[in-house]
Amino acid sequence: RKDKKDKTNQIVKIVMRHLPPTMTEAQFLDQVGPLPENDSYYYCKADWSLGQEATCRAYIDMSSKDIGEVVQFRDRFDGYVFVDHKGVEYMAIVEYAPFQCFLKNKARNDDSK
Amino acid sequence: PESSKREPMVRPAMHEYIRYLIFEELCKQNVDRCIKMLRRIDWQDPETNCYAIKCLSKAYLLRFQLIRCLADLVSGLSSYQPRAVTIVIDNVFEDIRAGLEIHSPRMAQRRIAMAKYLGEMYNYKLVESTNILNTLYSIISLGVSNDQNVVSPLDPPDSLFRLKLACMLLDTCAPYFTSQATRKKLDYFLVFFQHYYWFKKSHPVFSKTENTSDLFPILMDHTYRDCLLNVRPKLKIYKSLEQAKAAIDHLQEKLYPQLKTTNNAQDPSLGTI
Repeated sequence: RKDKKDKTNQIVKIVMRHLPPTMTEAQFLDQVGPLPENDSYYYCKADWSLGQEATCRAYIDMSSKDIGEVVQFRDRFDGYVFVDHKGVEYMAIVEYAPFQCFLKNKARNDDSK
Repeated sequence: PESSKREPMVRPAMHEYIRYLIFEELCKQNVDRCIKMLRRIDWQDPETNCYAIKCLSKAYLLRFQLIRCLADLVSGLSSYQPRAVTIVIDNVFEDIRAGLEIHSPRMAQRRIAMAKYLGEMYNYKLVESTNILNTLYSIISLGVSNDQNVVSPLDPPDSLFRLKLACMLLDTCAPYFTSQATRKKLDYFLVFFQHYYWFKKSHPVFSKTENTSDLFPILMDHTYRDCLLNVRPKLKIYKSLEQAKAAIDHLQEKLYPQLKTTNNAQDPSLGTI
């Protein structure tokens, strides 16, 4: 379940899981959109090495200032059923992403290529 | 029937090169060189970018000893390609979670490798202790049945896989939980972990006296004990399910006195994963 960690003016990264494996990014944006206001987002295609269990995912970074919107998005799409072109149903899950961001690695910070 | 010959997969040269660097070239001695080479690929190109991320996420395609090098490599890349590395880490969490949701023996090797990979990622400071603890809690709780009469398809009574998985993750990185706060959090986890172990071990599946092959495997006992000793040499190891239960009750009373009434052997801080 999603946990609302309140840290003022930080980024909350949420993940949408269990999207139909054949869904393309364009279809996703079409069905879910418009996406709530976000800092960045990316769409992950299905990992077919999982066979039948392959599903797509989307990660959305939102500002925690409008936590209301985050919650609204969760309420709207957590448990939302997407149907792929063959009519198979996939129940989406919206969660607080397990990984939020990493601390900058100071050891190798010289970026001159 | 005629044997179906599979066409050898033809990959673009760039993909072959990325694969070569990660799956063949990489070893303990040349991590820095691999980082250098990988930095030179065209990360702006969406396809190359995507393929590199894919390869970097699949630690289970490497020999087990090299998983650590892969974590080192990714850590080295993190300051140059933060976005790509973030996606790799997201993929690792997803893989572990998917493994918990699918539970198929076919995935076993892969899940162990990914747990190892995540542990090494902590050692290389890519993820934080909270990430590890949340994963550990989800390993012993997601889809787990706390009632001996309810059989969970995700964690069947006779499957000890989750124990192995948790041991793998603990063995890999728990000795490096050095700060006071993380040590404390880990100690709390170990209480729940021991309860999970005893719950498994006490299940009737393992108590048939007529057939000794159905007893709780001694190898698992050793793995478990070695793991605890490795993580906390001086830890008080519980000797029965009752002891473990009492410890959880004690902990709950200490940390969440207001929860005393709801008695469901679950850490309320599980929510995040």
